[in-house]
Amino acid sequence: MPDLSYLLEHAKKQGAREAELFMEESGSWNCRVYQGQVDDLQASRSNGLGVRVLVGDSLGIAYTSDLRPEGCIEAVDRAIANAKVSLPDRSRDFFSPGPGTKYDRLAIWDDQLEQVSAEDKIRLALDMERMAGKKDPRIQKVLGAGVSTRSRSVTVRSTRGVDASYRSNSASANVSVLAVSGGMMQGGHGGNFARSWNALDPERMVDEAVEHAVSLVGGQPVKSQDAEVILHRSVASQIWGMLGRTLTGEEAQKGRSIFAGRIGQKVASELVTLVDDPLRADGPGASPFDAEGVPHRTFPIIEDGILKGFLYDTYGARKAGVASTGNASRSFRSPVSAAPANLYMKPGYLSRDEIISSTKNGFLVAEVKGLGVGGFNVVSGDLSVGASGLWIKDGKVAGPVREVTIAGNLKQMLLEVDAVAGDFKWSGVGTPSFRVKRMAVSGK
Amino acid sequence: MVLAKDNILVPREVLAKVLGAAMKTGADFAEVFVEDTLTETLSTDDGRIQDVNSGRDRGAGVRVVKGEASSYCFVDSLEENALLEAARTAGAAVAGARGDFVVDLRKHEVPVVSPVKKPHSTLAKPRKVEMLLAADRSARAYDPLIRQVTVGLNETIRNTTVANSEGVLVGNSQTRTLFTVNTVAAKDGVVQTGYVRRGKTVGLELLDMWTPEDCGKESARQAIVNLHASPAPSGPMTVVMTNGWGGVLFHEACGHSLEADGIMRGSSVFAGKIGKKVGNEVVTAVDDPTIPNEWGSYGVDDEGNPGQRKVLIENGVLQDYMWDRKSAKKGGHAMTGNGRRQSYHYIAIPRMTNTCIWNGTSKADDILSGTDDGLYAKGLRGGQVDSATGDFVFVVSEAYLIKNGKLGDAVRGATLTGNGLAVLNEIDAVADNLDFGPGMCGKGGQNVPAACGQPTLRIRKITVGGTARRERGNR
Repeated sequence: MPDLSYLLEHAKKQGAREAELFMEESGSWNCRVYQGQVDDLQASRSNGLGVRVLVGDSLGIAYTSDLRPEGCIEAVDRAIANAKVSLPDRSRDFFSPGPGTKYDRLAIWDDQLEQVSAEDKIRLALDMERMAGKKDPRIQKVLGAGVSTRSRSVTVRSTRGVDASYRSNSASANVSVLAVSGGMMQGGHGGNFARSWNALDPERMVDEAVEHAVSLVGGQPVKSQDAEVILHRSVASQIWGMLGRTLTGEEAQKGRSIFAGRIGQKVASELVTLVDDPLRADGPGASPFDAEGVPHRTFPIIEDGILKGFLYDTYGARKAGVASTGNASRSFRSPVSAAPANLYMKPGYLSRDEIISSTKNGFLVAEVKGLGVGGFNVVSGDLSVGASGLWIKDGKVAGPVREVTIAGNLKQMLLEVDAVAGDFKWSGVGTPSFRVKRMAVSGK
Repeated sequence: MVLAKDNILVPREVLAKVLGAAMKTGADFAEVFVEDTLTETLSTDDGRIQDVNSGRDRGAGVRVVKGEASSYCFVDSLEENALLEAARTAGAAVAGARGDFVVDLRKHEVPVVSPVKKPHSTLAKPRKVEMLLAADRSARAYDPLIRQVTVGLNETIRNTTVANSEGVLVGNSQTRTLFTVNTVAAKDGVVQTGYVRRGKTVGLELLDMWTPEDCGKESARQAIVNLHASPAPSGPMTVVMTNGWGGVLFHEACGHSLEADGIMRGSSVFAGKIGKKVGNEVVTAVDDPTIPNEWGSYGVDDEGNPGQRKVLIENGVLQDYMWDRKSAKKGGHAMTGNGRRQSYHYIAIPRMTNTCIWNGTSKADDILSGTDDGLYAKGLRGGQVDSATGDFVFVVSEAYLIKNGKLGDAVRGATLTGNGLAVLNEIDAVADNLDFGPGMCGKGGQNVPAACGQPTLRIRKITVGGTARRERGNR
């Protein structure tokens, strides 16, 4: 990592009151195989610098991927020029570490992972592709399998005295299949995120992809009705993931959150506990400190159904007169904003099958469409998305369903969670599957 | 014909050397993609300037292809040594040896499809801030129930150079401007939003085409309409969609399945259907990056091929797909200039540009008055589609009931659910008022600017998912 002290000095000389540098270096290796051959291979290292400066109380930011001294100086100068058109805001400041500021050591770097050869990674992808093709006669095509490894190192430096770095690495793999039955097609996808090479479980990924495709192929719309809805963990993860910024104090204060003004209140059934825990090394967002160098910590947002609090970065916290929760988030390109770092919902004790057998008339939703394109309004909580999955009648799977929509409001849905499975998995947000007592299903 | 000015970002001799290094291990083909992109973002939140960000992405990627396998490596640098290192890394994935490879790079001229009238530099930043605040004020002035306004101005200048082992050398520059206004209206615990997005491959003349005040007002109008709207009904209905951004339905539900990578994999519902009837005869669909100054326009794609107008579907009959280099080689087809990438961090893949249902012969007014009963979708927010099945869902941002050929009450929360192939057959009337809207299209983790368009059209029957029943149940 190059020494960037000269940039902090340069910023001061150019009139900045404070300056902060966020430097990211990342390495990635990806391969995709198709029909027994490597289809695509990508190996790259990438780096970039994000600069924030305060001129008086005005913030200006800039970034560059060009880490030559002239590129970095240009970025600092642009940030200062941007501060000069920005409005002064007394809440703007950078994090000042105290004598007690300490960073946890997390198990997020695995030396052995860096030693895994390209051949081994390619072999794993080929194995998954081959296994997936043999699993079930209805799998007509394996659309591909991929393996990737990533590493990332982050350094934060500031004139306030922050000087912190960490590095992390991870491996992931995935496989996609296509099932065909009765002239109808259905895709299936299985994937895995891990902090070590051996933790990747190819068989489980293949099973997940095949089971998904085979169980859903040939789905038909059902009649419009109200029904119990079991949200598969992959669907639940997308919904939690979209809440993102609405879990921050700043958004809540502006009324842009379904949880606004509800601290201390019951916002969900007692089965629901939602935690942001960047210190949990098995999650994809684990790291010892946030984008401003504030130490990370475990923060329960909803505990047994009760809303405990919101997430803050330094700016939002100063505006609200509270302390940062260590939730400043950014890439070197983006501004800093508060966001969850490593969000998960606590699993329950039931197996998914136990939940199915206690469901009278319900819909196990395995896929949703349209969440991110307006189907889920994170401000109002209104949810209306296309769905496919399995219909459950009297505790048994009755058959696949597709081309229907499910609708409800997340505020109400959280209060109506009446069963939580133990099938926890990290995919972005970590979550188990869970059941909501009643939602509107629109079909034929 | 106006030609782009010479903006080759790396000297020709260096590019030739890099290609030589990439080909050294016996590849069939090598390509260097060089990029230097400048981005300026201004945003206001609640009438205050929120972020002023300037960025520069500068680097290059080298692709090496042998047989069906390809390998890619990029660097955040344009230094000769870094480029050579990337070339060797990419080349190393292809085992073998050829020895020296010498390429004679010949510069290809690129036509300027999108001349810029007011470059971003012609207005000082404080003046731009003032424009954002003007949009904010006009949104708030529209109705006191408007509680939140965020405005954004995004300016991009993307300079690129492509050189390949076949001797192609092209330089290109694209200037894009995007202006957005988000509004939130609230009353009695009901919260609704409005969203306006205007973007073209132009400079600041964008804000002469639509003034910031107009954008603010329009965004507020949508939020207020939705605030006072009733819950949407659900069930199968006839839907009339207005011209413009609604073309995103075709883009998502059919367009992606017409990209040649999916066709080559056999995972598209349109595979093997060239010359076959795939839709009602009123449906003609086109992808055209050569429309001057449209959001998804360019003179040359990110593989150095000229952009071209392609008729995808003509009078309901499938004519062609959209091809990049890799799929074209595999399918024995000519490249159609659809190879695009988000940045030098990615390989080019087949992508849409400005994609639309083409003009028909009906009149928009006649389509509405000829519809007894149904839903009038004035705007779509966006959608999602399962590429294997073509099943889709779209969210309607502004909708009205149609009663006896006339617009009735506003309804909110409607979604459209269906299947791409099926809906092409259900379109039974297409007007003559084609228009486009700007979007960022995501595929394979890459986002590129793409315009979606259509004239006003009617879908005879499609499943509308509403929240009416649920909202009643909660009372």
